[in-house]
Amino acid sequence: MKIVIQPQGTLAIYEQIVNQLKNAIVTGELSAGEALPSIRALAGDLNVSVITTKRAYEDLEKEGLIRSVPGKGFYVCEYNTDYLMEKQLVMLEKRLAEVIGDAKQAGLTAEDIKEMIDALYNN
Amino acid sequence: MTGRVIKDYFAAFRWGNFKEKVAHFAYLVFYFFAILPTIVGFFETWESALIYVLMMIPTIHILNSGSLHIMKMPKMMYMVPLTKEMKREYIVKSAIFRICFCSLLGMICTLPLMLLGLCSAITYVIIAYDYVTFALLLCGMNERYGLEERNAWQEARSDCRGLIQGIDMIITVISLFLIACMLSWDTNEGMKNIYENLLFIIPAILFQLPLTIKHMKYWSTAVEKALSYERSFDK
Amino acid sequence: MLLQLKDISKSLGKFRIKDISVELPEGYIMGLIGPNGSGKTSLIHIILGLYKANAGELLIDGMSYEDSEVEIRNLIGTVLLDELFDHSATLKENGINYGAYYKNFSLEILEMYMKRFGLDGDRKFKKLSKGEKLKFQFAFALSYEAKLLILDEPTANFDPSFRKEFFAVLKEYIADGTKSVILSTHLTEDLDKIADYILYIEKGSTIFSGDIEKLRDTYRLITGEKYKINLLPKEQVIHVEEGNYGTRALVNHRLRYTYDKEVTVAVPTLEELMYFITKRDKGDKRR
Repeated sequence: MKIVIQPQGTLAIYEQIVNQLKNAIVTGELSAGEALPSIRALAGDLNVSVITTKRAYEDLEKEGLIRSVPGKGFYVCEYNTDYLMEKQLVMLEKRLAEVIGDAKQAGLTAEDIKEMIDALYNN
Repeated sequence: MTGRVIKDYFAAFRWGNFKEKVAHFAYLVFYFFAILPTIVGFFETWESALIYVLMMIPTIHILNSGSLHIMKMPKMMYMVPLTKEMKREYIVKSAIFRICFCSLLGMICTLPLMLLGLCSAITYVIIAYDYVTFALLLCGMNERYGLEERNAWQEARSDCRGLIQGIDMIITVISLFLIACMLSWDTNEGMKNIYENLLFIIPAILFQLPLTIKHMKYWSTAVEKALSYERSFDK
Repeated sequence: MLLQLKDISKSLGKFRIKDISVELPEGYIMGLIGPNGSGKTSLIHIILGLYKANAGELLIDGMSYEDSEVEIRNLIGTVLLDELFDHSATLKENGINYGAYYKNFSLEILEMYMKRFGLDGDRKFKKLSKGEKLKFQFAFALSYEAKLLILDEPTANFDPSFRKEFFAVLKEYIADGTKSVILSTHLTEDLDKIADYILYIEKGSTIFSGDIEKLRDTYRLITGEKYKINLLPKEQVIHVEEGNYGTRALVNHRLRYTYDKEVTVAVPTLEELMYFITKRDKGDKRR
């Protein structure tokens, strides 16, 4: 599993960690029951504060994606992939809507946008 | 603890510390003038020169010691784990050490004057007594205002405590002057008789004894203050 | 809770430290930040028990200085800017002499750190440079199993390569989750990556006290055109700075608040945060 942190990103660091762990779970890179690195080990590897990884894990726990076993660490939960996928889709839709809104303001037509997407996708 | 006390006593004599206290050495000028009677004939007879040097060494040392060692511990000693009793032991021992060391230095340095026949035994006893009081007044329970006191003084905008310490200083300058007079009398005009000696003994006791007793009364307060870093703070 | 300050106040002449409250659990690093003269060193002297607070409660590992000073001092490792050791003694002698007062002092650990920091134990303390003196203090602080390291502005005197090593040591130090660090500094760059808690003080008063994630939730740095910035709700804006290429504003962030699409929203670094808040306060004074 690979996590990349962009220090000057628009997303907060803990959000970046949450998103990338989510992706890893959705794509099956992390399977149910698998142990996650400890809060302190992950913080050390990513060169971020302990409290930041702690918050990321707590968020994932709140969403029911991982669970903590006291004294042992964090494990990936049994989850519903479809439900997760749907959630991912909703998020993507929202982001696309933003992009399309910007494009409209710039005076692009639906055709222009599609063309652009095709070009980028094939890249 | 005794080893630590002695080490810290000598460790305090370093240039960095002198620099901070440079203003105190203005007092050396007074001491220099006080000792003038002995300097008469400094370049003519070796006795005068010897007296001058032997008097100046312990005086300068006491003055230095008085400005560098005050009733407090080095900062490090406030941070290592010490019980109150250990702290008190350190403070008391260091005060006793510097009083003894300074007065002994004065007695030892002036001893050759008597041995060489430059002064009478009674003069030497008075000198020795003077050095003990110097050590007590200038570097015995020498304490500066801690943070708390300084705040209080700042508000009152008065500094009469400084004045009291100034009086100590003046008394020591006067007695140093008397010592110098005694010595030059002994060397230049022959030994004094018993009545002439009283001329010096009475003022010594009149001036120094009450002040010394006042200082001794302050002893326990000074030790208590030195137990706390904040209250013994000096800058 | 390794360190608890509750409404600590202290007057130091005209300067006052006002109602500072902090909690630091085991296993974390707390950054103590603020401009020069904001009271960081005074606060550290209070935590070290050298100054006694006029009001408030100070507990270290649940103990107070009044009741268990010796136990507390065995738990605390310190690096201050003062030159605390014997100048004429060698580093090793210094270590042995002062280590003797500590319950768990180990010469092996001290020598291990001295080697790691490139210090020669046979050199005299007075021969060291300013940075080396601090390195030795740091090595000594690590040599007696202290649980709380209190470091006052050490980084400014370290060269860049040692600064890296310094932060690596701090991370190792807190790794087992039982020990904590308080690091005061006005160089906040490194803190962004390492600090878990932040206590931000200015003129003796708290600007922020809490974990760094809460801090990141509290503030946003908005960049955009001037008229867009002016549309931001007034009560949220802390300070606006106009530049040639757009205007920047530090704002109090509300959860799930959505900003105008044409401005850039970013989480401020500690440095940016301090810059804007210091500017704001200077502005207030002028008015």
